[in-house]
Amino acid sequence: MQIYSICGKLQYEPSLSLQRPFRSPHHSITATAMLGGGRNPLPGEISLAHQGVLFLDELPELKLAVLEGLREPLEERKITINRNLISVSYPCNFILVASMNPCPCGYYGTKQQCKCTQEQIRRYSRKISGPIIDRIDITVPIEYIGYDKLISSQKSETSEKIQKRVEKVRRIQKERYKDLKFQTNAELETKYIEQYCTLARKSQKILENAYQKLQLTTRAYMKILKVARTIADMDESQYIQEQHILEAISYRRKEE
Amino acid sequence: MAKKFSSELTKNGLVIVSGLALGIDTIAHQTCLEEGGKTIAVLGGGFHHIYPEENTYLAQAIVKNGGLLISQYKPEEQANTKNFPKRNKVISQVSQAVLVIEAGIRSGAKITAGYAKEQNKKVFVIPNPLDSKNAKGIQQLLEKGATMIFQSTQIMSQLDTRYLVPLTTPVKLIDTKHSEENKIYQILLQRPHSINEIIQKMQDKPQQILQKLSIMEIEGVVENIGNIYRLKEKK
Ligand SMILES: [Zn+2]
Repeated sequence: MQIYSICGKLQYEPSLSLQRPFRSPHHSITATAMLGGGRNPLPGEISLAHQGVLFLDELPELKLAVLEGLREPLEERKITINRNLISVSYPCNFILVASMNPCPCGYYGTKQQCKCTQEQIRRYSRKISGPIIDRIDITVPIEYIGYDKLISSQKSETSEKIQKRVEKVRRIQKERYKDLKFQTNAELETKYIEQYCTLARKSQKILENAYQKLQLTTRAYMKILKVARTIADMDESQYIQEQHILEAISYRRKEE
Repeated sequence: MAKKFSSELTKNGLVIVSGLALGIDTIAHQTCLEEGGKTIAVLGGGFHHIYPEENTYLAQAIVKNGGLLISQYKPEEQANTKNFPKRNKVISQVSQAVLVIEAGIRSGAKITAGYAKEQNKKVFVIPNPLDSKNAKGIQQLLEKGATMIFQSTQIMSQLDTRYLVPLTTPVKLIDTKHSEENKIYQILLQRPHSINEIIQKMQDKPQQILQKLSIMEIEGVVENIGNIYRLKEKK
């Protein structure tokens, strides 16, 4: 609500302030528009997405300054803009959802023939730097859906059902962190991780193994723990079991 | 077909001999153990280098259930594809008869059948679709005197029943999880696959497949390059 009134946008988009925001700026966006700034530093898209979702389509197409500028806000959940002698801080606790192709032509790893060279594929995915990848908790592949599949009524979970599951897990987390100033696993600070992400003995072993063999960064290690905590919450399991940690490992994206 | 015949022949008391390779060999050994039978795997390398590595659990299960691993090589010798024709020769040597399930023109199965013929062992083939890549190989085997059979009883009626073994308790291969990993391995052998494709081909719960892929990744069998999995090249 507050962010919108600063921008003077409330009057144009009144209904938005009552629900969580969903922002999807175009990939040609400037750093100032994304992160905030200007003569009288105004909030950018990331702050407009505060407590909501920031959706970035075609992630590698973003300007480098914009991409790299996302590092601090993703980490701190707020952004500090320094302009002359003024320093303004805006909150930006958003869920980042981004999309990208597997390669420039889009067919790598699908039934269709990919026409890209290994070098092209590497260059394309390298646009997303390691530190950014490390800050993305979950990556999942989504494939082109052929017409025959679209009309075949494949049984999938309804959105209502999924919403129920998400709400359940959110409740579990809210309850767990009720004495702290955050509410979700994603916001779990490093100093609390050991206390709340308790591993069953076997999962401890697997994670240690993965840490060495897959050469995980500390950040990636923590991220896997948090994602595993959420998967365990879906199972209503007090401890993080083997299967939770293994599933969490599969969602990480390796930096090339 | 490999499963059906291995299962029926095992139940009739036959010992199944194969080469521990991925694919038909694995199915033949595995099914035999699951029926409580005894099976022999002839290796293309020494005992310390079970090849392929994924089938180490299978090799162990074979021995544990009173079967045999046979090797003509020193224990420390690596498996080498150059050894495989010689390995196939031993397969037919220790067998009463050879059943060919699939036979590409230059396949190991055909080589084994060739040796069997030299050694005066019976060679059986089953019908393969005319348009399959095996049809030609099957035809060649028939021309050389192989017998086409349609059911396992046709094999049983032509064998010496003195060599039959009694069944023991069926083995629930504790490592059914490995057989799933085996399936994933087979899929990736063709080319790299996206997770979605693997999930479609495996027809198992996505979470379970993701867990398996993580295990294989930690073990260094596969690598995950941006949600696309491929076999990791051995250094
Ligand atoms: Zn491509």
